[in-house]
Amino acid sequence: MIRRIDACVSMNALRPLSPMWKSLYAALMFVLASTLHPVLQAGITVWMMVWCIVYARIPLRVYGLLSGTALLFCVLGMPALLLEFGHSAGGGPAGLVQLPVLPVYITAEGLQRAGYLLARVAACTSCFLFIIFTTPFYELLQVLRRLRMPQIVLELMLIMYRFLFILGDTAQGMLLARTLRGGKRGFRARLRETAEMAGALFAGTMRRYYGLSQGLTARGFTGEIMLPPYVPRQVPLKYSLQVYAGIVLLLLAQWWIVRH
Amino acid sequence: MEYSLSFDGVVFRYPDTAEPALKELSFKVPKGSRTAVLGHNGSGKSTLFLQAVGVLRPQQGGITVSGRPLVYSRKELARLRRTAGLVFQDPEQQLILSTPQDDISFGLRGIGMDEREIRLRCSEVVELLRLEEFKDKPIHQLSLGQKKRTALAGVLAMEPELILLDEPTAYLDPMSEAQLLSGLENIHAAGTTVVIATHDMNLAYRWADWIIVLDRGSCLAEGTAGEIFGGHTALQEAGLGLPLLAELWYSLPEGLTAGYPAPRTAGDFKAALQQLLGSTGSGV
Repeated sequence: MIRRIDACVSMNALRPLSPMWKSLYAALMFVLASTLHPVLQAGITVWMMVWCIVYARIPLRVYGLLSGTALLFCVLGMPALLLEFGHSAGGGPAGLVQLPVLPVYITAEGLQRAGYLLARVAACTSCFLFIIFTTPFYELLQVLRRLRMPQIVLELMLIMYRFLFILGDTAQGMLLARTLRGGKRGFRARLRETAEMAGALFAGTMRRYYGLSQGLTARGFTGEIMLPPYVPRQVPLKYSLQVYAGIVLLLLAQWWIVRH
Repeated sequence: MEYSLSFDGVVFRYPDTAEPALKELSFKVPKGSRTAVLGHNGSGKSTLFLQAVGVLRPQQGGITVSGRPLVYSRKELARLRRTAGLVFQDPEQQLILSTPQDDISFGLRGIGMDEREIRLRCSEVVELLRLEEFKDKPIHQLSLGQKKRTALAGVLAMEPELILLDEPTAYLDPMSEAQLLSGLENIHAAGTTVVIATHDMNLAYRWADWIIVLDRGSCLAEGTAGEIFGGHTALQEAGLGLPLLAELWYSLPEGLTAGYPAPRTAGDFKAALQQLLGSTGSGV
């Protein structure tokens, strides 16, 4: 999945836009997504989706897969909000399942709460997805550096990002080799094999780490990875206008909802 | 003769190993040469390179780079990074930043170079090694050949006098190999001493003009390509065998080839054969 996201990011149509502008826009929308009315939150979700799918030309399938996976976690937590065991403490029950020992309720309040939460999570997630799909990782690092994120954190993020792909390749290679060699049958054998693979992957990681530290030394590492400086870029007027108009519209709509 | 690199009685043993990786190793690399270090896997080629750039420190003996004895102080090592560069066999070992464009400038930023100068140097290197088409792609999306050229570009940007490449053509397809060698040709033409470690005898034969033969951490022979491939006892001793063209040439009757230099490429071989057969009255 990470490779697919990465490929989409490097080819997205909004890539030339200033990463700082995109980050600020996403941050602002995130704040609005957490505070506005659920209907407007749904509007934000759709709007951010339009930015990703229509403007950035991210395939709908990839967007749907990532967004769906994120929302799945939220949906899996829903039963805790929806279900009430025993006798209803308050509010009208929307549904009732009579178990032999105790009744299980779904209250109208629970349903409403779950709906509000889902709208908020979807809106906030869509803001994150906008940044994930439109801004390459190294540009995000430049933005974070500009926002005075500590150097050590940036270096760690950079090394982890490089290692993610290297480890992914190594793990994929090992898995393929196991498949081609037939692998082992049975649940216990499979478990043992997976543990052995994890061990081998760890050994491989340590080897990679040693190699990388030698590489860093040979290239004159002075204790600090110097990242390229942030270079400001222009944002086309049509995008700026749309963003300003959209935010004003959202705020006006919120004001109208509160008044009525 | 001036030398870019010389080892004098270098001994090095990795921790927890019985056998030393380098045993009183001594050799010299002439300045401006195209040198090939030949040897089997485990003969000490990579260890030798790590010693030459100061990553590993010998337990005995001395190393001289561009006429200056290697001193392991912080200041001297920083100077060494600008004099000698190493391209690892596995480019993943030395590619640190996210795109080729950024990675090439890694060393330059480390020495505090001005941003305008960095951009200029990077664009020169990108052009020299023809990296334009992928310079802004994430590193993990590049092919092995592209990664190797990017790693070479990162070293080259520092404008070193000496470049060491560990198995530069390993796992490369013929096209990527040709692109890399063409890049090396340009680098050498600019006056840089280029040293490669390889066990590809055909590559060493057609490319190098100075050869060093290593076997189990010792230098068996060093000399011009003609001396090493002509004498070929050191190669036999190291179990390396002869490159195909040399084997063909030396299998011809001695009386026929006497006085002719051994051809280094297939084209040279054909021309030499035409000349030989022409002189004996036959045609090819």
